[in-house]
Amino acid sequence: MPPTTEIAATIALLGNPNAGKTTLFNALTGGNQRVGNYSGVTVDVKEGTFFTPHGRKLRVLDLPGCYSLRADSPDEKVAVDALLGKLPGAAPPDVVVCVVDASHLERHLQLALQVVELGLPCVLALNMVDVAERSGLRLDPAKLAAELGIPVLPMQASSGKGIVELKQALRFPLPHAATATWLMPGTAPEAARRSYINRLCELAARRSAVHQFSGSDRADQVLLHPLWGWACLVAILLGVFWSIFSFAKIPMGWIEMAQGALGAWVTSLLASGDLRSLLVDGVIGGVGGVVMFLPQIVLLFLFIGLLESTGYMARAAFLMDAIMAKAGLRGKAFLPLFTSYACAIPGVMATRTIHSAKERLVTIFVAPWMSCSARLPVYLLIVPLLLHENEGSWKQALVLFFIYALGTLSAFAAARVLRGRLGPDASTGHFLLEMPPYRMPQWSYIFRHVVERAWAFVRNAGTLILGISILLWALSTYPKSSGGDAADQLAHSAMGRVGVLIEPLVKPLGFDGRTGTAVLTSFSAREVFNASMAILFRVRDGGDKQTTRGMLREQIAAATWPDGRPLFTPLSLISLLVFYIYALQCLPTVAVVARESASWRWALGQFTFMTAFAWCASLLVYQGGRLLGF
Amino acid sequence: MTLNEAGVGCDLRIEGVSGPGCERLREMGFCEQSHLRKLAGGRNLICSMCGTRLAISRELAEQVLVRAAG
Repeated sequence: MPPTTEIAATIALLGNPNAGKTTLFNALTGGNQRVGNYSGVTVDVKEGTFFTPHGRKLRVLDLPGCYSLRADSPDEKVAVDALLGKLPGAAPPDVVVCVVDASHLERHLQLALQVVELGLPCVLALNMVDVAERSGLRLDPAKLAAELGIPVLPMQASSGKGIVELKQALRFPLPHAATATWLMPGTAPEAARRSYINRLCELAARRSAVHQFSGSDRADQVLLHPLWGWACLVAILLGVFWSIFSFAKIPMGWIEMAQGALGAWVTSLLASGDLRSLLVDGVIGGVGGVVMFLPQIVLLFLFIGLLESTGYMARAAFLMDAIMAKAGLRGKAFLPLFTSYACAIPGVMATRTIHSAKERLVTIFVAPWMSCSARLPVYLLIVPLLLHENEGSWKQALVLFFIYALGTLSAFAAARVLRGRLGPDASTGHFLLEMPPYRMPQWSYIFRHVVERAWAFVRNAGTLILGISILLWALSTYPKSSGGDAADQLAHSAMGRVGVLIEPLVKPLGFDGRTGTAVLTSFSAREVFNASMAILFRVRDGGDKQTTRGMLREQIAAATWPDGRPLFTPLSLISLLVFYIYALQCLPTVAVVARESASWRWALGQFTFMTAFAWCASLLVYQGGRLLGF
Repeated sequence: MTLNEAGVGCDLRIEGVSGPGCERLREMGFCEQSHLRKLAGGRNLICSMCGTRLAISRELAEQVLVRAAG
């Protein structure tokens, strides 16, 4: 039969967290969803399609991991709603593929039995059989299938073994729903399931009685040690940040060179005029200033992927629980907050794994205060200026460390205050976390994920930031003044007028109208600040980016108020840094917070609070510093 | 005794699970008659059960009654 393009049936992949659903999803669809060795990597329903060996096209849904159908965290609720067909515009799936980790059948079968009880046709994918058999488990899939009355397929989704057999099992007619033979009148379903599973495991998955001391146990003796564990965690986190800042320099140099060459090429092609100015100053200068930071973002996501994939992220959450508790949060808040150092958007989405609704709201609220990678360009512009140095000294690294520490500590303090105000939860959420065995990272999936994030960043640079760069260029170029002087032109332009308008608001913070305008433009995305400053201070492309940033720094350092005082003193630079640490200048984050908290009020409240807080903190720094005689 | 009181490195058998967090504990495999080994104590405990390592808080461990596995 020739392959058809019509969807013949919908298959849902369901299982405990970390059972390998996403790996199986990728193996079935050839997709590139991210795979982690940490619960909660899938927090939404992912959809794909594949063909059965008979050419039928099936839709496959990858549901978030859950331990039961009781659904007490938002990601579990998504999974249950998808199963029951309660998601908008979706019918219940025709077959549920229950993905279970063969090493942990005692726990994972609970969920499979609940699906059978729902009356849904079910296929059991016995994943990671190689690991189970290596650990001494004697599996008998045929006996399991006979007992449960559903197809049972041993497989190793990560190496593609058993995928063809699974596709065969999903041929038409699809498997029927089995009967829940374990349910007895007068017995609680939970107890009935438990004793049935015990019997089943005794029959078909016999474990050697002796507790086996695995390689993961040995590694955990060091990595979870009260002293060495912390030393390793600090070393790993410092290593990650150090690598990001030092290794990224090389590709950043290439991007700078390419950008410089492109600018020079366009300049040589076009005659002097508005079009050349638009392309060289507006487009190449504006977008290039942001694309520059692509290598750092790629590296950060690469390291986060590595930590998740190897299984270390769960250990970090375990260790960090004590520190998180000081902020009124639990260890599970560590991953969202750590991810927020890269970008608050995936950070806010990763809060879905937090069971307590109030804890989750608090984590969402403070996540933007973890300095994200978009703030880096701003920090890298200002910090050397503050120290009267060129880029790249240890003193600058120290200041950067303090900037990150200030954001983090403020986030923790805010979390503590907010957590106290929100009151206790209706259901007590205790720390309960599965520590997956250490695994070799799945490089192909990590790389695909990194490429996906990098592409999202480039797309953003090519659309939003390109648009803003052009808009800023136009605002600072038109209306044209009669005089030829660049400063006159800027004062006459729309941008100059906006600057005059907002100057009273930013002057108490130590900024002039131009800086105020640059800050205003960066409310769409923080990294726009550098591009805006370059346009506002009329800096031409200096060939490579570091030179351009150096030229911009020279311009900023030489800029004065009308009375001749220097525009930027150390105090006003610190005030500017403080503003960037605290302000929530990222419209996409506001949109994601509104979606995740299901409340525009919460999102707008967060935006208003953080902007007002940033303004007050800057005011305090600048005016307080002046009173103290700085 | 509770799981908190058990010694590190001991092989244990669960006698009872009761308290506000017991449903979650049962979902994670902490059920009567299950065998486990306590691997580490402290602020949060680590146990090995059916080949899985689980970290649980002291408050939850207080709700798990165990005795030494014979």
